[in-house]
Order: sequence, then structure tokens, then C-alpha cells
Amino acid sequence: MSTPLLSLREVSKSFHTRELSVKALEKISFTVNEGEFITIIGPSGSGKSTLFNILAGLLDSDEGSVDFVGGAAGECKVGYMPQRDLLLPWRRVIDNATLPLEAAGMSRKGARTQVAEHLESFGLAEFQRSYPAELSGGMRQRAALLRTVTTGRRTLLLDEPFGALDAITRRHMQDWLLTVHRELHRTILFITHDVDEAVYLADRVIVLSSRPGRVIRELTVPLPRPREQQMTAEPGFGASVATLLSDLGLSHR
Amino acid sequence: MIPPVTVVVVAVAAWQLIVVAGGLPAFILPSPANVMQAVTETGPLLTAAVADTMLSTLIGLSVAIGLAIVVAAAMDFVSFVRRGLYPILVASQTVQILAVAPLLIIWFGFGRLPTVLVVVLFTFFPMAIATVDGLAATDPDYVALIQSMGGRKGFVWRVVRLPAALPSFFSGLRMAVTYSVVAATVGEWVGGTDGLGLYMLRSKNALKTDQVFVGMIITTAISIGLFVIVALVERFALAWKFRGRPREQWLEHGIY
Repeated sequence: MSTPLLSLREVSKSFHTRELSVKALEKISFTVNEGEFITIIGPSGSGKSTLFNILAGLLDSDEGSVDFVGGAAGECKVGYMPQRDLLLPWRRVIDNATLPLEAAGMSRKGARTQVAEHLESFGLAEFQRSYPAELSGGMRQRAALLRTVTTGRRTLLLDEPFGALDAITRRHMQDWLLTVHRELHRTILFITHDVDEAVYLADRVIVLSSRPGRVIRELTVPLPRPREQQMTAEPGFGASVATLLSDLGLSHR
Repeated sequence: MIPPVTVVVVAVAAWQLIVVAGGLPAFILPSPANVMQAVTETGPLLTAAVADTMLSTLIGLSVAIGLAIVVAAAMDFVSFVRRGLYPILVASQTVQILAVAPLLIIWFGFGRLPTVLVVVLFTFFPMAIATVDGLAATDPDYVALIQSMGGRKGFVWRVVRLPAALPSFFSGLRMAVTYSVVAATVGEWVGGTDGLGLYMLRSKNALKTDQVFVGMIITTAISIGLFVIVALVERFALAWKFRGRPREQWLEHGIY
């Protein structure tokens, strides 16, 4: 289980405009193991999305290195689900899900056949012919995640996918995502602002400081898998949440 | 549909009443009954004129659509072309149609060609501008997403940019078709050898005011007809936009 898949060494990134320069990330180092579920938490402006953009190959880091085991770093290693779902409104759900395959040159028909097998487990079978605007928030997130899984990449970067959902839908989506994680054997990096969500989902939580973003803690969650919502009442869960809250400056002791 | 129909019926009735009660001569204001009579009297002539005007309109519109798409694409691809042409396109929309039409006759002679050119000139601009704006307004996040999947430029165009620009293109097209019939009749009025424009010009010269009204009403009817056709095509082509109303939450299974 603990084969390293991806390691970051001292990754730094600054942004410059004419008048000012902002240091977004400073010497970020951590390792991700095959099949792990890692959540990344930090205050706004801690460079979480910048980090994902670097991992997705959309941005270059100033210093440091990103190494994917079994090949060089780059765009072809991860499936990226940005903060906005970015489903194309003029494509039906199934045709949004097939986009990564079509972008790689597969015919629409072949791509549809390949995606069809996942529709059921993503709960999208009866919505496959719908347009995104006809879907509820939770369904849109499922469709966007299906599109991300369709990239076929071993590592998935999910940038705050459940941020806009109501509390109950969100908990259902969390459980469903854990099922997907278990069944599809993918490695997941997951950004969130929600401390409970970070602990509930993760094998490890990585805490970033506010600007510039630095890793201030890597916390291993002391809960067994499979997770259940009742575990959020256990002492191990509470202790982890308390640790994270104090890391984020939300404890006044 | 009932309120507008009622208004039209009342207006036509009032019109008839004013003409009859006021004792106005028909060459100043014909009554609706006079107008109807003129339709039957000049039937064959009118049919030929309508066919002719519609042909010029449709040829002009088709050329303008093709031209608008090509020019919009060129403006989107090459920033120099865009910055050079955009202000000129906007300014050209204010050029006086009544001044341009005689010039076209002088250059291209009498006949269908100048009429078609008038139509092209006055429908091309709204479509080109709308399409360019639509292409430029494409959400760059969509483009970045497709690129992160490894999609190339052509794929991005086909999958993101063209569909994103389509709603703007259609609003330009809707505007263009309403101009098109008027543009064709102006062309015919000034230098045509056939068509509704000439029909109206001759009727005016002969003080057949009822026939001028016939020409006006038919021109309007054709414009509305074209508008409706475009609106229907749009509903079909942009099904995602018209179907895209969220369903009620309770219609879905579970609570998602």
C-alpha cells in the first residue's frame, strides 16, 4: 500500500505583477503513496489551488521538483477537477464525461461505450441524456468527477468539489466518494476548507499555513476504513479536528 | 396570443371606421377593404414580386451568413485583423443605406446584383459583430480544462469555442433577418427591375396608395416569417439552452 507515487521537494512559487510580488508557496514537500486519500486544508490564500495547478502541469514551479514515480512530472499524470465543475452546458452529461477520451483522439462512439460502464456506479445512468443545467448541484459534481475519472489517470486532484453543496447532500457525497475511491483504486488529493470533511475523508491531512503556503502539519487520521458518518462522534476524530483547528489559529487556549 | 390579436383587430376596425366616417379619399388613406381588394386585383403581379424579393433576400442572407462566419473566425484568430476591423465594422453600421444603394446601381447596373449586395451589406455587420463578441466571450476556464486533458487547438474550437459563440450568432442572425427584407425592397426601389420595392415605387407614382399598403404589409409579414423560422432553428440548435431549466428537486431520486 505504501508505494510512493508522487513526491514534491521544496516546491516554491511566486506571482509577480508590475507593482507587487506575492509568494504563494514556499518549500512545499510531501509524498503521496499509491491509493492514498490525502486532504489538503489551509486558509484562503494558502496556495492550495496553485499547488494543484502545478501538479496538473498548468503552471510551472519556480523552484523544487515534482516527481511522479514511473515517469517525468507533467500534465499527463493527473486528472484535475477544478473548483467550478466546468461542465460544458451544450453537452449532455455523457458527452461531458467522454471529453477526456475524445480529447485524446477516441471517437465519440467508442468513448461513450467506455464511459457507459461507470454511469451506474456514479448514479448518473438515468441522467446521461440530460444537460448540465437540468441537474442539481450534487449531480453536477458527480458528472464532473466522472469526467475526471475518465481521464484514466491514477492520481485525481479534486479542488473543493463539495464546497457549494448543502450539509446533508455533502455528507452523502463524501460517503459516495469514499466508495468510488475504494472501488476504482485511485489516489486522491482533495482540497477542502472544512476541517470535519478533511478528517473524515483522509488517510492523511496536510495543513498549509496562510500566505506563503508552507506545510505546517501532516496528520495521519486514526480511524479505520471503511469510514462511516458515526465515526465523527469518536474521540480519535475529535482529537484530530482539534489539532487542525489549532493549526489554523482557531483555538484560543 | 389573444391580447396582440385583439389589439390588431381593434386597430383595423378603427382604421376602417375612420376612413369611412371621415370620408378620406382612397389615395390619401385607403381603407382595409380597399387594401384587400388591391391584393386580389394585382394578384399575379404581386406573387411574382414577392417571389423575386424573397429570392434576393435569401441569396443576400446566405452570402452574409457565410461571410460573417469567415470574417469573425479570422478576427478571432488574428489579433491584428480583430483590432483593425472591429471599429470599422461598428462604424459601418451607421452608413446611410439610401446613399449606398444608388452607388451600387452605378457600379453594378440594374438588376438583381445590386439588390443582393444591399442585403449583404446590411445583414453582414450585425452577424459578424455578434459572432466575434460571442467567440471572445468564451470562458477561458473551459479552454484551460480541455487543454489539461490534452485537447489541441482544433478540438478546443470544435468543442468549446464554436458552441459557446452560437447563442450570440443567433441573436445577430435574428437581427439580420429583420433588416434583410427591408434592405431588399430598398435595393429594388432604387434600382431593381422587379420585386416588391418596384411594385411599391410604381404604386406610389400612380397614386395607388392601397397597393403601397399591400407592399408594406407583405414586407412585414415576410420579415416576421423569417424571424419565426430563425427562432425555431435556434430552439433546435440550442436545445441545451431552452431545455436547460433545473428540474424540481423532488423529481429526482434520493436527495441529491
